[in-house]
Parts: sequence; C-alpha cells; structure tokens
Amino acid sequence: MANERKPLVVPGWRDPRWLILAYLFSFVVYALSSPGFSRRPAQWLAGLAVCLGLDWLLLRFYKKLNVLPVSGLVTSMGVLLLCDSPDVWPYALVAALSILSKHFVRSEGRHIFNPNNFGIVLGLLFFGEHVSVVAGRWGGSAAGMCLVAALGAFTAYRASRLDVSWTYAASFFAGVVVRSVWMRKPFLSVVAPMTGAAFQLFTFFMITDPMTTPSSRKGRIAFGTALGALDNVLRVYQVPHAPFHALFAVCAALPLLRSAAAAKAERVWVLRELSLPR
Amino acid sequence: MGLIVATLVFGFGYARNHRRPAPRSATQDAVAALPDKPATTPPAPASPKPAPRVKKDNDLGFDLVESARAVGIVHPHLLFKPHPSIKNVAPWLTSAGASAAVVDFDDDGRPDVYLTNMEVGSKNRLFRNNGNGTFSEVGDGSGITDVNKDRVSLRAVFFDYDNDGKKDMLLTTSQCSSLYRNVGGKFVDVTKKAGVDHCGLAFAVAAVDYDNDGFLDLIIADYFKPVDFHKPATFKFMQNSLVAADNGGPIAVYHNNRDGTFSRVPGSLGITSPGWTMALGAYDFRGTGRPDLYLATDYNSDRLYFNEGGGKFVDASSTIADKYSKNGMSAEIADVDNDGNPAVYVTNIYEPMYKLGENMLWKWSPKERKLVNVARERRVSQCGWSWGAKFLDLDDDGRQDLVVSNGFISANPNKNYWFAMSTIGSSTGAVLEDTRNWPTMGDASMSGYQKKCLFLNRGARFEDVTDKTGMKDDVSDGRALAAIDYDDSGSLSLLEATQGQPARFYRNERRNANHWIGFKLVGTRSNKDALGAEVEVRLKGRALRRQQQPLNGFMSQSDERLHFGLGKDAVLESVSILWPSGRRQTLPALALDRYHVIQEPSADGK
Repeated sequence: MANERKPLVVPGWRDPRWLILAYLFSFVVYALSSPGFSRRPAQWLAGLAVCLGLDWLLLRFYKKLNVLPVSGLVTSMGVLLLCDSPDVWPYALVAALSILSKHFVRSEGRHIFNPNNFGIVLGLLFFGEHVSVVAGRWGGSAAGMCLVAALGAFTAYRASRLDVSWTYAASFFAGVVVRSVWMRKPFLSVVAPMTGAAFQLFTFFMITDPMTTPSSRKGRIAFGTALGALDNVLRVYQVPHAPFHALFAVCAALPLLRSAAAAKAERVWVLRELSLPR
Repeated sequence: MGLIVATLVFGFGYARNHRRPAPRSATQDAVAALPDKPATTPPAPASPKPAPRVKKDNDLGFDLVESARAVGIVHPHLLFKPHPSIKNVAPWLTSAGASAAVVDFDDDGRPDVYLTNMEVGSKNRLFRNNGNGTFSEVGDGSGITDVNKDRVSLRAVFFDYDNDGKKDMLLTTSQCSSLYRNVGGKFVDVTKKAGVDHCGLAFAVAAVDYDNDGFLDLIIADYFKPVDFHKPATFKFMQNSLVAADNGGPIAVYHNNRDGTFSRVPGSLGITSPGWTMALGAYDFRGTGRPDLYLATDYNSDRLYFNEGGGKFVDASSTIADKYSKNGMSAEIADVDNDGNPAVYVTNIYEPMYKLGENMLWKWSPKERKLVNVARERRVSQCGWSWGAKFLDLDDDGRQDLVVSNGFISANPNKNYWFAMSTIGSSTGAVLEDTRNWPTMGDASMSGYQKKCLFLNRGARFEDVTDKTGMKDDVSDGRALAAIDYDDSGSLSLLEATQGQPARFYRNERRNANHWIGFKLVGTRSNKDALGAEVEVRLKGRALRRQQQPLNGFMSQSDERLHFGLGKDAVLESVSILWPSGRRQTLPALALDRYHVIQEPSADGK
C-alpha cells in the first residue's frame, strides 16, 4: 500500500485559477510577441521549468500531494511579466524564490507573501544589477491599459477580492492628491502610474491573491488601504519599485496583526468566561 | 518562523542596497577631478604651446593624456535655455547636441577641429592645426562659426558634395539645416541654392553615395518631430513610450544631382523609422560594394537597411537577433576581428535597478545572415549611460580598441531624477508625451559623473583599462568621440565633445615600437572623399581591413585618413583598395610609419 501511486489530481474547471491562467497566458503571448516587451521564449521556459518542477517536487515529496501545480504555472507567468532582465538566469532565480516562499515562508497554514512579489522583491534587493521591473515595457497604449484593467477587474471579482483592488486604488489616489498638493507637483506627473497597464496588473492580479489577503471584508479593506498608503509613503522617499516593497511589507505585517487580534480575542473570551471586568 | 526569516532577508537586502558606495563622496571626488568646471562664459584661450610629454608607468604601451588646453583647443560647450513653459524638462531637452568633427578644411594635409555650440548667440569653433602639436582658433570670418544667432548647432558633417576637393559642411540645428560650400578655407551658405530644405532636429546624418554615381548623397534622420524649444507650439513632443515610441521625427533623403544641388527623394527610398534616431551608421555589411545603413534608435528597436542597388533599400531589421535594449545611441562599425565580418557597437543605457539596457556589439554572421550580439563575451556590454563610441587602434597592435563616452546629466549629486523618470515612464503615451506632465528636473542628476570606458582589444575579448590611462578621471557628460592623428605620429588621439562642459583632447602617448601605415584616399570615379572605400592591408600571415566611414559613431567625424597599426614585426606584403566605383586597386609593399595619398585610378587605368 505504501508504494501505491496516487493519481495526479487535476483541479476542476471551476477552479478560479484557470481563468487567471487564461488571462495571464494572453499577456505572456503579448510579452513574447511584442518587440517593445523584449521577452524571449528561453526566459519564459526557464521560469516555467523552475516553477513547475520545483512546485511539483515540493508538493509531491514535501507535502505528499500528487497535484498538478497550477499555482506554479500561474507564478511562472507572473515571473515573465514582472522580471525584466536581458539574461535568462534571473527568471529562473525569481521563479525559484517565488515557489520556495510559497512552501516555506508560511504562517497559520498558508503562505504569507504573494509568491511573485516575494521573488521579485528579493531579486531587486540582492540582484539589482541583473533584475529590474520596467513598467514602461507595457508601452503607451491606453487601449491595452483598459484591457488589462477589464480582465483584471473580472478576475478579482470572481476571486471575491475586488474590494482589495478598489481600496488600494482609492487609497493610492488619495495619496496622489496629497502628494501633488503637498509636494507641489503636477497632478498628472504623480498620478501617471495609474494610467499605465502595469498598475492595472498590480492592482487587479497581484494584490488580489486570495491566499495572502485577509478573508474578512473589513480586513481586505484595511489591507488595500494600508497598501495604498504605504506605497505613497515609499514614493515620497523615492524608493524604487515602491508598490512591490509596500506589498511585501503589508503582507509581512498581516500574520502579526492576525496573531495580535487572536490574542486579543482570546483575552476577551477568557475574561468573559471568568465574568471578570474587561 | 518563516516570517522572521523573510523579514531578516528583506532587512539584509535593503541594507546591502544602501551600503553601496555613497554617491555623495564618490561624486565629490569626481567633481574635484574635473579639469574645468562647466562654464557659462568662455574662458580666455590659453596661449598655444607644445604639449609637455609626460611618461606614465602603465603596461599598455600607450597612455591618453588630457591636453585640451595644452594643444590650444579651448571650447566650453554652452547650453540654450528653452522656453519657460517647458523649463521643467530643460535639462532633458539640452542633454544632447555637442558634436565634434575632425576635418582638413584648408586642405593643408593636417587634420583640423570643428566643435559646435548650443547657446543662442554663441559661436562654434574652428581650430586650425598648426603642424607643431598645437591648434589655433581661426573661426572668425570662416563663415561657419557665427551661426547660432536664432538657433543652436547640433551635428556638423564635412563632406565634399561637389567633388572639388574641398570639404563642405552640412550643419543640423535646432531649426533648419544649413549647407556651407568650401571656397578655399572659407565657407559660403548655399542651403537654398543647393535645395537642402531640411528643417528638423537631427543628430543622425549620413553622407553616403547610396547609388554609387560618384557623388555623395545625404540622409538626415530627425530625433524629435519638428518643435521649436524657444517657442513651442505644442507641449506634446516627448516620446509616447519608453520602448515603442512612434512619434519622433522623419527621415529625409537628399539625392545629389551632380550639379551642386540636391533633390529630396519622395518616400526616402523606403527607409522608414518611428523617429528618435540617434545615429546613422553606414557600412557595406555584405561585400556588395554598396553602403548599408544601421539606425540606432531611442525608445524603440534599432533598424537595419540593406542597400540593394539602384536606389532601393530593404528593411533588414529582422536580422538584428535580439532587441532588449531600446535606447540605441551610437552606431560605430568596424571589422574588429579582421575577418571581413563587421561589428556594430550600439551604446545604450545601463542603470542598475532601473534600466538594464546593455551596450551591444552586433557581429555580422554571414552564415546566419544575422547580427549576433557578442558584447557580453567580448566584455564591452556595460558602460553606464553610454553615448559616443569609437573604434581605433590606440596601441598600433593591429587590433581596433574601443572607447566609450557616457554620463547623462551631472548636476546636483544629491538629487536623482531616475525615480521621477520611472514614474512618468509607467504612464500611457498620452501622458508621457506631454511635457507638462513631467516632474521638474531642476538641478537633479541622472546617471551623472560616470567614468568613461576604454576597452583594449585583446583578440577574443576586450579588457577595460580605463584606470590605467589618463581617462580615469574623466566623469564629464561625454558625447561625441572622434579619432585624430594630429601630429602625423601614427598614434591616434581622441577628441571628446561634452555636453555643457569643456571639450577634451586626449593625446595618445604611445611608447611602444609598433609600426603603422596610413592612407588618405582620393576618389576620381568614386566620390572624392572615397566614403565607402575598403582598404585591405596584407601582412605576412594576416590581413587588416578598414572601410572609409569617418562619420559613424555618435555626433562625430573622425580623421578621414585610414590608420592601420601593424604591430612590432610587421612585414607588409600588399595593399588592396576596393573603391566605391567597384574598381579594385592593388599596390605593392609601401613604406611603413607614414601616410600615403592614394588616388583612385581613372577610367584608363592611370
């Protein structure tokens, strides 16, 4: 019995990740075919191989699950779209960091960071001479930006995370207004990122990961608001690639807040049970 | 536990990034090392005197010694002030335009120097080579220096358009271009008469005889679409994308009518471009005897056009194997391996964290019929925000070395515009192209105070030897690079035009015993300048090749004489010249260590 091979489990077609996968794949096709995006098939294959291979190996031998690594596939596409490098190896590196974080950087049974965000942030921090994120790669097309926003909004809606996107966008926009007035900068120069496709991808695809966002509506609103606020703060200090660092920090803070909330709830329960004044 | 690890990792990474050499101290050192501070008013020219000979203890067999003042080339490059409505991007708009030309304008056999200026009312400068290791400014009355009254100068191209043996000049400016005819050391404006009606802001110009009719034609590629920075009619003239901009200026082709006039060619021979052309490189890549064209393009992919003859060019851009870098600046082309297959060096922008566009060395592969990037394996891929590049044999060992100038805006070292640029760069095209949306640059730096790159050709790879030479302290905003053998010593010196700063002259202090040979080519059936001619020097066991293309690179024109370093024990067997007319001329062994004037045989073979 111990040697009996379990069949490979393939997620059903209702799994929301298939939809995300379909959309991301269309972006990957664009990235590989658009001269402006400058991605090569070898770069995608490197990220894909590492994501699928590593994710499958860890699922099979670490978690003892024989599951089709759909999440790994999603991550591989995120790696290709986010990571910007003339080389091939950074794509493999970011892919590996992303998958490893998913399996090992965990709290309360779920991963803490959006895998792609973790990979790209570490890539930027430690390999900034070889890894970058160039939002301008998406070109200047307003139609392209709208398409990404529309597909992203639908995806976030299906994943019940649209509130994260809206609150982040609203919080970011409020910060834009404050920065524009406070720092006396032309409004459009500060709000410029919101008009680009990269912002839409981040807003609707990246920060709406169900595993790394709060499950309660209030929590998600707080998450999006905090993310937008921190993004603005980092931009005031001209931290390169501010949104990614902001998401990293907010995701890192979530487990701490959860455990603090749990401790408070437990204290409330104990006091109530003992009928002691709170 | 995982969270703690992640936080620690992030903390270490952040600390690592912020532990990098502090830009403040490095920059302050660099500023202190500048020979001249950026000037707003020209200093009094130093009295020319022979440059002191300084011996340096490096193991390269040569050194480059900054000697601009010593040789009498004093030229502070001055910048114009754009209209107040676009002053938020003024440093950007005035960040390119310094050009340098080496030309024997008075036909005395010695290379002279012409440098442009960019302040309204300022003068360009013409320096005559005195023949004793110094130059004298002789611009007054020449007709080509007091030319910035209501515009500013950009690219100067000297070429003999009427085949009278004297170098004429095309000058592109912030407004309309001008053509000056050389009437014996003086220049006369013949723009209207010659029919050169080009108006537009162009850095890229090629003088090529594209149809091999013996007269040089003109190709002018504009960067911006037409715009007057002193009185802009629109604010929407910036690039509408960082990687696929299509709103730059057009390309104009002027065919030489062989009667002193030009005609603009409708459709520009099929040469199209989205604009933003930085440099035009001309070279016969395939041995057809016809010049092909490489267009180094900003904010888009570079273009390559093959000349199919009969005035027909075909788009061969698909032969450029990789298109990661999107900021082509320079198109310097040479047969660096002496194997008959040229390589194009295209400079780009490399700024860690923001832009990883490395410089490209596109080697022509005749088998694949592709340009394959070998910059990494040759170790010439990174040199900051690079501009001009020049292949030249500095140590006369027979291999062409490579010098790259760099640095975008060196202003306040404590302010950096890169973050603001990346912010506006992430927007849609409609936002990006409008100057009103750009954050104020003020006195911020952007990829400033960068050390230049001198790559010595070691055969299979290049070695960066900058720190062993006098270029090591150069952190100016370098632009054009031009090679010049100003004292006929067979050692190529280097002229560097800088943006808003004094021009530099690097005298080559060669100390080895390597031989050399040089040629001044004079066309008869071909164009008089012999542009496009190829010379092969056959030595015992090897052959060296050079094409006569002094206008390649970025905003520069080099010494037109073809220079060949030959090494220590050179035994010259023959010299073969393929003229643009198609005639091949073979010469017996010639004397070494001197220049030879070679005239193309006429139709009857004389």
